[in-house]
Amino acid sequence: MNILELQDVSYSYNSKYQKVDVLKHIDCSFEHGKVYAIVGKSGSGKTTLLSLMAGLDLSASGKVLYEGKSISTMDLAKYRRECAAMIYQSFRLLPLLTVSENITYPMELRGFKGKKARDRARELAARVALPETLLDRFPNMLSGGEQQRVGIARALSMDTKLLLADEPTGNLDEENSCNIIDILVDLAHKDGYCVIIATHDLSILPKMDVVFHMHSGSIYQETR
Amino acid sequence: MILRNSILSIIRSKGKSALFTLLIFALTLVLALGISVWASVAQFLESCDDYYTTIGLVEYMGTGYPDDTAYDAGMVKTLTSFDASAITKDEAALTWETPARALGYVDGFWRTDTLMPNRMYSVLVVGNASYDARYKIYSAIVMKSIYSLKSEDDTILYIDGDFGKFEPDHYYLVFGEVYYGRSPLLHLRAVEYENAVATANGLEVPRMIDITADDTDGQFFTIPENSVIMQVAKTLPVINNSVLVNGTENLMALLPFHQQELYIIDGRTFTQEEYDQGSPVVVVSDLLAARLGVGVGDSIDLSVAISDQPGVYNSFWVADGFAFQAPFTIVGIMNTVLDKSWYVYVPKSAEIPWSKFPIGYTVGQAVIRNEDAPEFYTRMEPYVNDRLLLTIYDQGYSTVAIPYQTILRIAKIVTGVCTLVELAVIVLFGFLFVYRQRDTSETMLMLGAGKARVCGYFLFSSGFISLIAAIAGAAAGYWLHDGIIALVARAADRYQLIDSRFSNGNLTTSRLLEFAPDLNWQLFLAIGAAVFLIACLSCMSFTIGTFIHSKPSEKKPSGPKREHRTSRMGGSSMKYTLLSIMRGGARTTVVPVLAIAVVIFFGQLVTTTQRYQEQLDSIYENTTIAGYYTDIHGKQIGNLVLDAYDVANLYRTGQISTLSASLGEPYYYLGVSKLADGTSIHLEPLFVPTSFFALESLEEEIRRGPNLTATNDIRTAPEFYYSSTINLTFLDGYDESILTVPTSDPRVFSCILPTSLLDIHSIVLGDSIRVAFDRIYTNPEYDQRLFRDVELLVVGSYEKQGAEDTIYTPLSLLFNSDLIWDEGQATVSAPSQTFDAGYKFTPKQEYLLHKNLFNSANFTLKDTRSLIKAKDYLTEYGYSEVNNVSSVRQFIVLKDASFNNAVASIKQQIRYINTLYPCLYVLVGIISIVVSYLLVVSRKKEFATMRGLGATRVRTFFSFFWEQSILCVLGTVIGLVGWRCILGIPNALHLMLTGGFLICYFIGCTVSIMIMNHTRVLTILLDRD
Repeated sequence: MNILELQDVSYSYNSKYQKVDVLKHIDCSFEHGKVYAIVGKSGSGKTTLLSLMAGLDLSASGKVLYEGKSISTMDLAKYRRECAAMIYQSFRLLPLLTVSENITYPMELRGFKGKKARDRARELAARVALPETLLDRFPNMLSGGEQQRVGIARALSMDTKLLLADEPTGNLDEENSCNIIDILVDLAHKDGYCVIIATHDLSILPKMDVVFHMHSGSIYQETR
Repeated sequence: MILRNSILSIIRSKGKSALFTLLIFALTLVLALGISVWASVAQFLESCDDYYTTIGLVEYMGTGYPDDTAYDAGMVKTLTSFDASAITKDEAALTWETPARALGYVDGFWRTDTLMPNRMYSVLVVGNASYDARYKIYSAIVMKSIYSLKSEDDTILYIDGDFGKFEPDHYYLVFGEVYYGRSPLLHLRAVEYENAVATANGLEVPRMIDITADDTDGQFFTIPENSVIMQVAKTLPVINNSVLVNGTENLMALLPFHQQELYIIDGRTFTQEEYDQGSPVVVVSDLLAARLGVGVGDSIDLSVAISDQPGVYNSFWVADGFAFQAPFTIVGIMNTVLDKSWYVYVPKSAEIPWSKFPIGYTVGQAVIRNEDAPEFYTRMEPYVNDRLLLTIYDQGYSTVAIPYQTILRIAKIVTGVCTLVELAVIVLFGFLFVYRQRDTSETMLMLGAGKARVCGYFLFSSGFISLIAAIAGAAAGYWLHDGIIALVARAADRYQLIDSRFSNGNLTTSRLLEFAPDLNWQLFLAIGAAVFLIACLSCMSFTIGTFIHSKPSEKKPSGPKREHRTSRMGGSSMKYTLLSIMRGGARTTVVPVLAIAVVIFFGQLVTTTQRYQEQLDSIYENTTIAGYYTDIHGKQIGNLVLDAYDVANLYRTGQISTLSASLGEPYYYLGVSKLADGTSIHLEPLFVPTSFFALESLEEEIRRGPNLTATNDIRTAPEFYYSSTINLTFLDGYDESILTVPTSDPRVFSCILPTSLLDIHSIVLGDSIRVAFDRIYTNPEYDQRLFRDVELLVVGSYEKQGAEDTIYTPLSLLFNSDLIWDEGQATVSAPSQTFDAGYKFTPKQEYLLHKNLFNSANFTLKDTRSLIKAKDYLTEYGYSEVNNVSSVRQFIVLKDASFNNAVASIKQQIRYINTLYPCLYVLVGIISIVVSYLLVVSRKKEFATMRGLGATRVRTFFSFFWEQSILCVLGTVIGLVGWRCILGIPNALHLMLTGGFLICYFIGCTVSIMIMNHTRVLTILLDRD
């Protein structure tokens, strides 16, 4: 069964000077246990598409179905909290929270607090190869790769089966990029996550199960 | 291409372009109006300085004041301790001029005014005298009138019986005073001719000399040309037709000219060259010119007499002649005013010997810088005391100029603020229109456009906007200028800080200068051009900034810089709030510091307001305002004719706390009737003759006597009104209250006598004396004239400060004081009636009051806070102000100049505060909203991340709201506690304003968080806003 399905999704916004049609009639679907890549040039609409999947906004037309249910009928905050986890290119860690607190934050949103949450955070940090010594540090004291790991751990802490990663390696060196992609692939293949990665890094495509190409707001699946 | 791209950039950022066009337009408009009002008012104030002259006149308030020719020994004594250097050294005083006067004479000029000193003195040759024993009087024939204004040759003259003994066939040269009795014929009575020069020379003027001659030559008498009487006859015409020569360094600043009592009707005033060189030029009255048949350009021979004896009329004695004689050219002719028709004015530096003694009561006068007059008055007040009085005459400058000075300051503030805001907007304009497009600049440079083209691109677009806005703003300013000026003129009317009605600070005649500024369009064009140029300069600076711009280094995420133990707090929004507060570093301190600063700022503002208010209250509490009735010039305080009805009405207003009145009658001293030890001394009652002429003589005798002054307060009687000290001695058991408390025996009145009278008549305290006076008694049914003699118990003595031996008695001796005061003669506890409620006298009371007159009246106001109300009453009642006659021709002066100056100064500060502080309060409110907004918006990515992670709107709202609120409240509490510890308990206004700040801050937080909450998360994440 598809965990996520987009039906005729379009999206546009008004820039300073003109109206920009970012997405045009997007149709695609995503399943558990697979790693998807959405590739395309900058401005092709990858991030917007991923944001719509993450419930950060609603499409102007068409539907985004999560497990068959349109997210427009859902409480978007709850959807983001419980259904779709997002990993950002720029990490988007809360600067005033320690690594541990950043990871536990989504859990606290769902009501998991205290020691249980902290233990879970430690566990997730270990899973993304974050040394325990970093848990009490603040994001600005970490390297880019470490911050991205925190981002992934935070996403995992949300206990969703849908992981959306927007250029997760965009700010990382090659070694860190490789490690992060490996983590994400493992999450899909070993733990059954549906991992959708928006990227323009073609080098990671061989590790992907399905590749979508985007061009001027349209999407098509690469045939393998 | 550059032009096209520039225009495209304007069109494509039309919102921003329109916003800045409007902003620059609006600010230029306000700036243009501010500057134009500033320039107009400054121009007007300069005109005022040219138009108005303010003088400070120092006068000695002697008992003979305001006699302009008097000599007062007390004045000479006071002047020895008066140091004019305080005035001359004062920065506000431009000049200080002391009077220079001398007795002059112009041959051919004759006077007819009543001020002639010896108007009725005559030197006559009389003969054929016969004595009428019935009337005790001589009748004689005037054989020759040697000097007399009234008596003519060959007329009958009655001579008082006590003049001397006249033989029927003898001829006499007589000196005396002629007067008209009740008959149409002239009388001659004996007078002492006092000329100090003659007296100093050992000369005594006899009343009569027998000049009967042998009639062998057919002459019945021979006039002894060298006799003293003949010298008197030659002296009198000079004295009686004398002119008062006034030397001046600035004719138009002299009080009569300054007050426009005198003005040049032909010719001109003196030139500076004439002042400097002491040219023999003169300004005379048109009466003098007409009587001499001269005009401008003609010369008169001016003689001046001086002597070593004080008193202007002691300057000349025919045997000593004149000290100076020279021709003077008439350069100006002034109008004729009765008491100054015999004045001539010359440059002080002319070689005239001036009188060695003061003539009149003027000590000196200073020309003062107009705008500094109130401060000058305040500074000089301590130096002018003990009968010295400083009066400021500003020709109405303060009334006209002070409101404009206030407006000028406000215009300066508005212009200053507007200039700063305009500069800030222009800088922002340059930043947004140029610096924010630095990528464009870089791109253009990379493409080889060259710096000139880049500059052209930016300058054309920004310059176009600023040019349109600045010129439109300046043009609109020019168009609106007249309307604003009209508003300013109306505002000036409302900005009157001083209610100068009836004030002793407004004894001046007022001149009115209209506020009619004349500004041309070039000023507005210059303002528009300046704004445009500054805008271009700003854009140019930022353009240059784009050339040297280098990409900043990759910015690391902000946040704490050291490791921190992970919190074990629960996961509510409060947790995030507290963590954020604890870890926010410098950011956390911003809001508390702001709050503390605001608390201190508000405290300071409130304290300043409070301090001024307290000062104002203190002035109101500690000031007593006195007032007095006076003449039209505001000079006299005694010898007035005041309707008791009006005085009573004034007292009935409820505005008066104390009222003192006096009324005098000339008395005739009869003698001591009872000694202090109780021994009675028989005194014949006043003999009232039945003979017509004897009665007339008695009346005249009494009329010429000193005054018995009935008053309820000796200290405010005219003789002592300006005196700081009065030496009073009382019999044991008596004090000044004898004047206010009714006597137990209505037939015996207490009195206070001058020590001189005690000495002359060997009176001691405790004796009773008897005096007689001529009095018209008034009843509703009839008026009756009676000679009355009264018994007065001498209970006190005083050292007289004038020439007269005035006896002070309770007011009730001459006036039924129940008519004014309900309870006897009490001067405290004014009646409860107010003029609002009105008070109606009974017809009988009203009649009696109208029939009674006071010679002086003065009062103190009950409450300085109701000063304006009291003035309203005086105006509504119709009382006259000095130099401004109204329906009731009684002139009142309130001594409130110092009070007004002090109050005006504080009120002006309060007015600034009231104008400025609300703006500051609003500004702080806006700043608090903006700061809270910026602090929230600066964390929009945090906000978006939280929302992205699924935090609800409520959670994100409170995560930020609690943080901001706690910080703000914390800072406020710290500020208030600190204020409490250091400066005391904050007052209600302080707390209220602080509360207002908190509310503004909360509103700012709420609104900004709600805006963030309603912004699409994606929009924030994609940074599209």
